[in-house]
Amino acid sequence: MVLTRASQRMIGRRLLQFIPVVFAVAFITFMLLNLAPGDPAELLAGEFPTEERIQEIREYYGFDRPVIVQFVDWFSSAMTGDLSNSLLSREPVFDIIASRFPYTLMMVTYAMIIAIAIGAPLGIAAAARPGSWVDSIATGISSFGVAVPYFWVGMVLVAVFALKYPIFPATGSVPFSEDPIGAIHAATLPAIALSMSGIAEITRQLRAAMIEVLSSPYVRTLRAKGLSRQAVLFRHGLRNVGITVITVITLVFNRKIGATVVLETVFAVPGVGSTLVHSAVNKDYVVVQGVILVIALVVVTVNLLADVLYAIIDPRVEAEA
Amino acid sequence: MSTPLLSVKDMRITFHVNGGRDQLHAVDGVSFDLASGESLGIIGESGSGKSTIARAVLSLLRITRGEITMEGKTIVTPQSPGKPGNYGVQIIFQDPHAALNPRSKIIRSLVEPLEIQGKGNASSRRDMALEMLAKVGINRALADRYPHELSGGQKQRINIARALLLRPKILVADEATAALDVSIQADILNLYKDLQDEFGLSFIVITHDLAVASYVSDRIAVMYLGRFVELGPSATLATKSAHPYTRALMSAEPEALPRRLQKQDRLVLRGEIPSPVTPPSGCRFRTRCPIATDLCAAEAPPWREMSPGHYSACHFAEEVMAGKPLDGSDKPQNLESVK
Amino acid sequence: MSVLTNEPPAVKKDRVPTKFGWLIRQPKAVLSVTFLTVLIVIAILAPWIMPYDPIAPNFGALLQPPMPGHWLGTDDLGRDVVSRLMAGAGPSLLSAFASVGLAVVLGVPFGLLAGFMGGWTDTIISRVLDAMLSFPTILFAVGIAGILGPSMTTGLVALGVLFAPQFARLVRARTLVVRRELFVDASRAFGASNLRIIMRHILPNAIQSAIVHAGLLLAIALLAESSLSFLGFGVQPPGTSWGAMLARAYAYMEVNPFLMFPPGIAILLTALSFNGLGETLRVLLDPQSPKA
Repeated sequence: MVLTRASQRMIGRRLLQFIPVVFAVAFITFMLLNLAPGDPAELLAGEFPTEERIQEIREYYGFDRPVIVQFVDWFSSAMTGDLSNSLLSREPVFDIIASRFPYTLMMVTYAMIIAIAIGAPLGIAAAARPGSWVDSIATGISSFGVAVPYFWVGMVLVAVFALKYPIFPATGSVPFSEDPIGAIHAATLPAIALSMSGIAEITRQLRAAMIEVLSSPYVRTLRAKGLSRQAVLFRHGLRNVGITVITVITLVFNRKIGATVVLETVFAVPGVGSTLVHSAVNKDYVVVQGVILVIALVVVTVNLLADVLYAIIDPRVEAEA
Repeated sequence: MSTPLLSVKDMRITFHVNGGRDQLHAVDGVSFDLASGESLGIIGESGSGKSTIARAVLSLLRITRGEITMEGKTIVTPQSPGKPGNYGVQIIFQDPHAALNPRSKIIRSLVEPLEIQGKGNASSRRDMALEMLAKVGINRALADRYPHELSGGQKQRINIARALLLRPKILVADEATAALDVSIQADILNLYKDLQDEFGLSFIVITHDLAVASYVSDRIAVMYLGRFVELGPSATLATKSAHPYTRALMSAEPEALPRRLQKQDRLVLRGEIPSPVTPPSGCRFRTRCPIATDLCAAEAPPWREMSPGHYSACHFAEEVMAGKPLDGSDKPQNLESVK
Repeated sequence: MSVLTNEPPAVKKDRVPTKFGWLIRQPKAVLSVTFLTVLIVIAILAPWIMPYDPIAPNFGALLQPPMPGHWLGTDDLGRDVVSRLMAGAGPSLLSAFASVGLAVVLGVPFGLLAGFMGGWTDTIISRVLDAMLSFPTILFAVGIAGILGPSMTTGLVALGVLFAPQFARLVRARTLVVRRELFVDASRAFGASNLRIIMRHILPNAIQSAIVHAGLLLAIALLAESSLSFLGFGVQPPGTSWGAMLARAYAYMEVNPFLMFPPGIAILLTALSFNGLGETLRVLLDPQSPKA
């Protein structure tokens, strides 16, 4: 694909902005640990530290050096994949996250598929006939979807489809690489719960964007020329809402990554989110720091990809930025 | 000669464009004096730099060269930008609606200059504002309305009242009637004249409209691409203009001319005003001038006094003043052959 | 982001003289505001109107189903669910309001500063905002709660800090537009200081989108606080909140699944009302709206 100069310039600028944002993300994450009152070494040493243990940790992590030096050191190791070791299990944090991430990714992907499969037709159908009963239902579903506590939906689903009628397992998870069918089966209830706000967001934004396109003078002309409603809706409506689709999918993905923290706990999925909760409860700060950094970098990267896609689809977006 | 009220000397104003790579001299070496009680019109197309002069005189932007003095006292230099509002110059903007905060009642907008300059107390400020409203012909009942509830003419009168509250010596009107209906324009222009008598005001009237300029101004400066091309008494410019650009503006607006000149030549300017980032060499008007020669591309015309108080920057000022036809009929070269 | 609601039906203008007149014709707006008002009154009066002590265990009446006297049953410690819902309303609502309020107080000044100053100030603030917006809310809040120790205050401060960039962005975008308005130049011509221009002219013309967003964000904040309390990082016992009630209901789900419904529905209805409030504000403050 040949990119226009405007697209290339915009992609270039986004890449340039990416670097300081990554840097700022890393700095904020690093400073988290320094938020804690008192000496981080004492904090890391656990509940009943001995003086030797504190000294050992201080030297191991280099807390006796200036903060900036510590940050540069930590940042350069982090960029090579060295996120230090868990205080509890002594495992490398990178390995912990790498082994848990597939479960989280599977759940989020599954939820995204459900959200698009339900939200997209609903939004299009609502936009085709605004004010109709289909539209009322779509609007109702999207109002409900953004307001309902998704982890509560998860509990209700467990109560009905795992405890009362044991169709799906209540908790637990299967690695996708070993048993894809079993993995999908086990991830169904959490994915449905996770898809709630996504369905709502996709429905309402797609509906709004489609209505805007369909009421444009250009599309009205096409209708006047005798093109059928369906033809206009699918051929011209959908093609012109590409930007909205990318925006909403990015937004929904970012929210879902955060929501896994709660849902993985409800469904005892051994993903990154439950690892974070477990580590926070057990004061394993190094893991907490590592998880937050990795997830934030995933989000930054997804946003960058979305920006690049914008530039490819419609270079005019630059003017707005 | 007595000290002028306001004096602008060799002023240049530079903007950085295209992300700081290019420089643009929006105003490039402009000088003029304004006497007490005088009205000076500055006319030019959009992009000529006339509104930039207005903002510089108000100290709303920094100048890069030259100086501005008020009654002999230096108030603005590139090193020390002036303090807006405290040396007796005020401004009326083009869009009367946009100049009023839409979320403030009229009275609140009116007392603002007094608040800022620390004049009076809350109740005396209100009294002063209401009194000034009466002087510009606005019912004081409108003071508690919001801008969107008033007409354009009413809003412009309110803007004038607000500017006058600080008792300025000079009022700059930046296209101050352009956004109004023709009938209301006349009312506002007459209001200027009344106010000029009552407050002893001097005016700088910035406009693209020759009719407006000649109606209210004692003298007119014609501006093109950041420079003055002609300056002189209004009547002189109308009858004995010494610059082809002025002549072109006049012929575009025949109603501004005395009847005997109207049928003379009808010259319509071709093309767009060139980019001020890369102005033409020599005379900046030469790319659109029907009588331009090689001399115009080679040398910038000097600023010459043609008759007392009448200046022109044209190599052929005498011939233009003598009524040389501007349709190119007596020249081998016309516009198309000039680069 | 475009937020769509049913377009209000075209009401004849001459029949609707005031905003209030328009408001009471909107069932969604009336319901939302009424529900929230009643809820706030209950939350304030809870100590005096609760039928039972929400904290003290009653081992004679564990996990009772709904019945006269205990209209929503009792929990795993025999405590009346109605009383606990009332007691939990305060912390849940307070967390939502306080975190959104904190976000406004932190975010708006940075948005004004970035938009007004431009240049390097804007670049630095904007990049930091981008970075902060990359942290998923709950994830970051759990991290902070883990490091600082879990409490209601830690939770709401973490949420407030994370929500702040949303307001900063909105206000920055509006400031970029408003600072070029002519009335700002007019004020400057009178000698106004930057501070005066920001407070008198920019803020009043830039704050509307932030107010609307605050209304909609209240629902998100309520859900986030419930999630935190559910995970044990929010309100700590003996205090209670709806999220904490859900956590107990989760633990006893196999014995008494009914327990999850009262707090879950309370959160749902409150979040719906916050959204209704936000949409009402949006229509009221939108100058394009035919009603305002």
